[in-house]
Amino acid sequence: MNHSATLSFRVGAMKLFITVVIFCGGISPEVSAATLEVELRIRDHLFFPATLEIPANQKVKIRVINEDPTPEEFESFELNREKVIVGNSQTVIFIGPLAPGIYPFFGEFYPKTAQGVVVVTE
Amino acid sequence: MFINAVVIVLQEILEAALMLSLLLAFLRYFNEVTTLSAVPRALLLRRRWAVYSVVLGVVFAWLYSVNLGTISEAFDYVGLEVANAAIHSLSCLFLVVIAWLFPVPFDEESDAKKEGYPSIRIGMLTLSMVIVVTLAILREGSEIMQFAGGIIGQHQSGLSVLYGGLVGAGIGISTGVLLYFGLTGLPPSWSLRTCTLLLALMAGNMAAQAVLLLTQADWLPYTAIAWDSGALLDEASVLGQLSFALVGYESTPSWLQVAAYVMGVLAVGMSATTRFAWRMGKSLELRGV
Repeated sequence: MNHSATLSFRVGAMKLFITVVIFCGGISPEVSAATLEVELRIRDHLFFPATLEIPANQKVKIRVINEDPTPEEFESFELNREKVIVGNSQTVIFIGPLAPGIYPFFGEFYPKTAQGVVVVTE
Repeated sequence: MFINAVVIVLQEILEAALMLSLLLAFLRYFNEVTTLSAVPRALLLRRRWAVYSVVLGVVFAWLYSVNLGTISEAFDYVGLEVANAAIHSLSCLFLVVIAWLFPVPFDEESDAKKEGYPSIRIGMLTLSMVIVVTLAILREGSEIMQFAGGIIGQHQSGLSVLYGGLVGAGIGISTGVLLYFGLTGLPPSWSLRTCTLLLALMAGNMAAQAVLLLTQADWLPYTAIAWDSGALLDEASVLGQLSFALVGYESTPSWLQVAAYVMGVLAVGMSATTRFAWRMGKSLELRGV
């Protein structure tokens, strides 16, 4: 590759990079009133409640309280979420805004029993 | 518990094993073609760095796992996301550094040919590879330790978890070995192209995962889902999981994840190594290497 070709390659790549940066900067954070908070407890490797009902198109803060002495991993392919919660502790997971639908989640460490769904309604 | 342990250990070990295999294949390839150049072969042939990385990775994974509770409570309970995002960002950064530091066999007319490669550059390259593999083992290993620690603490099904873990580790490491021989078995020009492509995709993967974690922590804004390819390739399937470990496949990525992925790929793609892979690859074919 000669010098000018290298240069034009670099300039092209730089333009693309700047476009991407501007694109990212242009996305403004979702400005909403106080984020809705729901509680999810883990006890005996089960989720309580096993069905979380939340409104559509709104960011929701799930406070996960693990009452078991063992760690659990909250996982959901549909929600794109994954987080370890150590035993006897609590944590926070943000989800949404989501379109109406059913989004299953499970505890990766005890998937046989730890199953739940997030039901998003209008 | 047996199958459970197989799945968890396999999932976690796969990403680190594939990353280590790719770097080893990359080195092996360069050792083969460096007869064309002034790269100090002896330096690259040393593979002790891989052993150091694994040991360091396990030690850091243990430290991370032990302090997970404290880390998790930081930043109003999103400390884990922030820490993991930092680990992923660092992995991305050093994958890019590796791409840029890789010794590229010189052109016949290049000035650099007379000067040779400074050993500091080789040292930095080795250090970057140690960092990348250590971080991979740190983030995956700490989850295995959490899982295993919880079971052992309960004095139940300990043995089946141990056997399951060993089977999972066996499959994960075998997949890594397969990737290594698959990559090194290709004709050299294609081997180098595939290695470079995978390096770029892994950098994109790390950047996208960092962005996802920060979105989960509500540190980055929500962006719409870019597409849904779940019908094409299910993320939960075996192939989906393998694609996730190798190149970070996600069936419903957000636009911000896509943007981060593209930037990671470009950062590797603009390196001299990538240009060499596509340009020099052809001339290697012509020479019948």
